[in-house]
Amino acid sequence: MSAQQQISTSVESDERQRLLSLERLTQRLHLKNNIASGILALITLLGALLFILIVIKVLWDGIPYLINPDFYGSTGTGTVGQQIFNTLYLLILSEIILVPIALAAAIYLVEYARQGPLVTVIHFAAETLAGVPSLVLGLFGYLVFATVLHLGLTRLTGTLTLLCLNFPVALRLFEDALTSVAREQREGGLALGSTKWHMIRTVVLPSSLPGIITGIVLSAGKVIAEAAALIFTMGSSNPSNVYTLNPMISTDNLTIHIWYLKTVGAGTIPDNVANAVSAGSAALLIIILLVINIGSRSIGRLIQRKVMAA
Amino acid sequence: MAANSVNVKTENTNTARSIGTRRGRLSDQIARGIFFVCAVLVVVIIFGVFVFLGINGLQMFKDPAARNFFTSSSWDPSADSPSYGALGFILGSVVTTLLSIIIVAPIGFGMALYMTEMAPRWVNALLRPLLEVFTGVPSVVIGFLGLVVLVPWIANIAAPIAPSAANAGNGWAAATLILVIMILPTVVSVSIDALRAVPDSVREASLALGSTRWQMMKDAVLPAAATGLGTAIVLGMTRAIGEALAVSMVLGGDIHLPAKLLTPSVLFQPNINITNAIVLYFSEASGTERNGYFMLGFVLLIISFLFICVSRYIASRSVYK
Amino acid sequence: MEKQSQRPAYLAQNEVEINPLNKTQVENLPEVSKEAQHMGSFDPTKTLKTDATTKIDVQHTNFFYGAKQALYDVSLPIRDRQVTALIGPSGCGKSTFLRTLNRMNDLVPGARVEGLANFDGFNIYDPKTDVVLLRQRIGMVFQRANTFPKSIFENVAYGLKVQGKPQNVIKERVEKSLHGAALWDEVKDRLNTSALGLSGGQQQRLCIARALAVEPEVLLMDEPCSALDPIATLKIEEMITELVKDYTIVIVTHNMQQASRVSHFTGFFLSGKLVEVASTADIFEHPHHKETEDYISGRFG
Repeated sequence: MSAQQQISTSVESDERQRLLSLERLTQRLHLKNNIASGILALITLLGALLFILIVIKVLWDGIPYLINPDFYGSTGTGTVGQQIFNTLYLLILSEIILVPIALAAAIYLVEYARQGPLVTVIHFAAETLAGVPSLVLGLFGYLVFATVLHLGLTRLTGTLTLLCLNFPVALRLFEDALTSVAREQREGGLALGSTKWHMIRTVVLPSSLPGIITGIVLSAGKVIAEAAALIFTMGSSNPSNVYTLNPMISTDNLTIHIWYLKTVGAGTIPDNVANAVSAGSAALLIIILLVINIGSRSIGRLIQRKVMAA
Repeated sequence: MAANSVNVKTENTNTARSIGTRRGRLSDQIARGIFFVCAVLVVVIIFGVFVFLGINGLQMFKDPAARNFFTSSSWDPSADSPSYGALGFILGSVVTTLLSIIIVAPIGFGMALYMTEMAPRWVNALLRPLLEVFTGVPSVVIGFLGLVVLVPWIANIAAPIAPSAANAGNGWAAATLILVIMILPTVVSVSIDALRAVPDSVREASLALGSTRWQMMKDAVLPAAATGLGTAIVLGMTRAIGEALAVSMVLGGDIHLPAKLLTPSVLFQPNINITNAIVLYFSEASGTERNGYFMLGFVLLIISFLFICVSRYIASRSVYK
Repeated sequence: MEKQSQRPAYLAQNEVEINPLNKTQVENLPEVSKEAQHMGSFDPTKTLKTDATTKIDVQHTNFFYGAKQALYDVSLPIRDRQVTALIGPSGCGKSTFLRTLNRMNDLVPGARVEGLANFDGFNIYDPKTDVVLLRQRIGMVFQRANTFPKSIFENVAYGLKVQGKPQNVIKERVEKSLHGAALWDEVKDRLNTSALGLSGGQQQRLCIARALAVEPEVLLMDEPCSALDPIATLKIEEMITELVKDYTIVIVTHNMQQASRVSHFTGFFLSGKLVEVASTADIFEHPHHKETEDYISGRFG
């Protein structure tokens, strides 16, 4: 009896001992956990602050110029009216070329192609093309469109180069948009006895419209931001009149203009004017991109709701 | 609706049906052909990029003076006996890329971990769009900011150890920090995707064994996401090595590599890399020199291609897709 | 002597007693005789201790997912070193209840628990309870084997590395736990290969070994055999009857035969309420409630 009691108390004290050491251990673990969590939170905070401060800095420096209507004119130095027109022109022209081609390619990959070597090769090609530096694509555009096809340094050459740059991105986004259409919907379409192309037009494309719009808007962002692919294909200066739809002239755009003023063109206009123009243009670009990114989601959602309602 | 009406018609009259389907078949065939051509266009483009840059670049080796392209760091096309050593440019690209990824990797993984495993919802709601905007930020905007903010700031700090106090802000240090800003959003976004791909059962397994959240992240989630995080690193490096204008704006160098390479001051003086050389000199160049810039472009292309292959290989080994 | 058999002794016992059907035998035997042999070898009524002390005393537990209530006033004693089975139709709240016992429900956004679960003098449900310490003392095995994409050794060593144990202790405990989970013989030659290469049953036993390695006092098992074939199920049931000598086990199962084969006590859940709890034999032979009787006789939806 007493021996048994002894054993049970020693077992109990053993158990206590184990618990105490476990408790000490978890205290240590909690401490480490808190330190690590603090560090992660701090890193994130600093990273976020970096980006937020960049946005604030760009807007703070640029908005004073943006609210001056003269900034958007095209006479005298320190105006960017021409560059804004060029950027818009380039945006529209490249979307007109890009969207049908990329959408057609996406339709082929999603609706027609069978899984096999061809699809793998196309996907691999798209992925590789997406990884090619835009400057290298600029050299390619210069070689092929400007020289071999004799298009010269023109808006058209720049647009075709942008097509190479944006094709893989848009293809991916459009593919995602098309695959998101439910299989039942497709089968419903085919069961009605129509051809595949008819089914795609009447069923798949309307339902994937939100995703397609998102793709268009995001590729628009890339067109507006791009400069490296354009300096050897479109040029970095303007003719006397840029307000024309002629695709066969050499122009710059907002981003090229900033680059030009701060590097090879430094000294062509006074330094403070160059800085003012750059700051204003940078703010304008950031605002456009913020609007595009926030807008692409809400537009997609809005259209989705309309499609659902109809 | 349209499909319905076709259906009704074809049931009524045999002739209408055969005409209708024949026309349908034909348009289907044509549409299919067009789509096919567009899809194959991607392959044609990337093939063309390799062929055109390769042919033009490799032509430089017809000139005996270009034989030292991969062996010398002296690039001086206008000298009496021209020299085309590209090692200096390549070194610049490699150094800035490596330095920037070394800085970006811990920050990027830390942010991705915090955002997936710990952050309250509003933090993600704020940061995700911000990161997306910065993934596509115009490189000239960052370059301009670099010129007006970063370069003077570095010049202030580094003046004592730099060879020339006036130019202390330009160079590899500024370029590295610019690259950090340019590639951090990409690395964070891809890392977040990688961490999200780790199933919650892995997290549960770790927590149920009495691990803290930090141990769960460090010992269970990070190893399970290792391949995805590797892809994030490689994609970040792909962006970094090809980044042109922003880097070129703050590098400030021409064609000369600094004399003393193995001192810290090498980071704080005007310096060179591949993209800067192409941006600055391509449009004025001719002959062998011009082909040399195509060759530099081709080198970039090959490096990017290798990076993409590596990232595909890593991704193919992933446990969770 | 006594002291030794208290905790870490299962290794020695297992080697002698467990696996009366070793692998080759199992494969050669026809299924019926396996079942018969099994039923004969492991009869929980022989090890039932009606006077066992209460390890976790759960009182009046309510549980909510957001506004939706999932458990209503559940009171249930978990007896020390006995197997308590929780049965009931799917969605009855038995898994939810199990997961409150080591606070795994904390991970579900909007989850809220009320009530008292007295474990060694503190309330498990208290927000101030240290969940890390709690989960080191109350281990869990999940419905689907959630092995880490690491080697077999690393999987079992995980909890020990979390506790910062030295290498030699880790090595020793990994082997011991693999023995305890009746997996050692199958994996001893490939400890450094990926655990994802194991079969489903082996992975589940690996997860059990992983939980055993940290030497918890209580082991929660959430339908551990639901994704396994009969032979793998058998092995795990065998193991449970061994483990209960050292561990308090709570097992959720949708399989009533399994409950009767392995458990000493059984609680029957229905629509978030605990209908009744009693010794397994009583529940199956003399249920007090009509719902229980309907369910165990298979008259229930």
